[in-house]
Amino acid sequence: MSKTLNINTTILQSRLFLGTAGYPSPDSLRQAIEISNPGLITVSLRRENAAGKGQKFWDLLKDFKIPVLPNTAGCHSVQEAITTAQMAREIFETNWIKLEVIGDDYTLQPDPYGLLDAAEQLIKLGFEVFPYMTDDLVLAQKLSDAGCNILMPWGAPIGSGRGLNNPYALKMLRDRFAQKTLVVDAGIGAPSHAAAVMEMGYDAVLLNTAVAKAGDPVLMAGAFAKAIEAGREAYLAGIIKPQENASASTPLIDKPFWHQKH
Amino acid sequence: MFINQLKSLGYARDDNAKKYCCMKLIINGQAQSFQAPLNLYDVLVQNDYIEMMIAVAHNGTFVPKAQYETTSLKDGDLIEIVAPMQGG
Repeated sequence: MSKTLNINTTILQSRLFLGTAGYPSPDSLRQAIEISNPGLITVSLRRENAAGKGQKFWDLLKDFKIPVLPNTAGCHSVQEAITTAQMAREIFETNWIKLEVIGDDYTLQPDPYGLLDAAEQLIKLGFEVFPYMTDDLVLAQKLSDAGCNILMPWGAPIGSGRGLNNPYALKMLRDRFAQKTLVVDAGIGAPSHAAAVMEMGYDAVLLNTAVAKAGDPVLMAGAFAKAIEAGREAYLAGIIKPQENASASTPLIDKPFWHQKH
Repeated sequence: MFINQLKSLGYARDDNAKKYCCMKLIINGQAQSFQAPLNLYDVLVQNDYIEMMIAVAHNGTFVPKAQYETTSLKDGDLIEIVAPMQGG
């Protein structure tokens, strides 16, 4: 119950969604996947050359039999994103697409208008859209109205490792979309960030750079897997509410010297 | 196709074909010359892509595999050929 997550009829074996880019070597990527056993792995499409580098990369991943989530990373227009999604559907044989429509190159902030437009069109084409979005509540509502079953607000800009820039907004999204599958995507730096996301009740965390660029990516992948599992269990267990005053945890009844008169 | 005959005779794919060509395509950002008429399937065969794990866009529009042979090309067309790659 705690570890797995259902997306449509697919049961994901963990709530860690792991990116595959930027690892020191193919072998470190392979080991990171092995140790963390992510629920899904994200991939992209890039221009192929005669050497067949894409096939070599795919050969590395396919044996894991972990669902893949292709992305439209780097797309700045709706048409680019739609075409990329269609190409991804054919190559990876999945209708899942992590939809990115970038609006600002400095922060890689999604373009909310382009994102919504592309999401509407892709849903009509039969895609299950995982929109990479800001934490804007109204945008979330409009994407939901358009038919997105999953929402993926950012924690912070991609690759920044800043963690959760706006915990208030993320909590609000969780509260307002209680039945929606919510995933924090991007900006995660430390396992504690991921645990915090899961403690809020988010369904999963998507990260890449925090593992790929860690001093030891394989060790870090394992650390994130544990943090996400711990955060999920903590959420299910029910976290106590903070209060201003102290409250003794050790019972005072029968404490020695209690009410002793001098 | 005439260019396939050239290839079967052992001529190098592009340089020797240039003298016969009359059509230029931009494939993954690189200009390449071909003998017209030509369809998308021919281009993919001639560039050794056809057996690879790829998807294709023609002038910014996705072309399903089943339509490669019926997709005619004209001078100046843009072709993007993509494959799986690392991504976040």
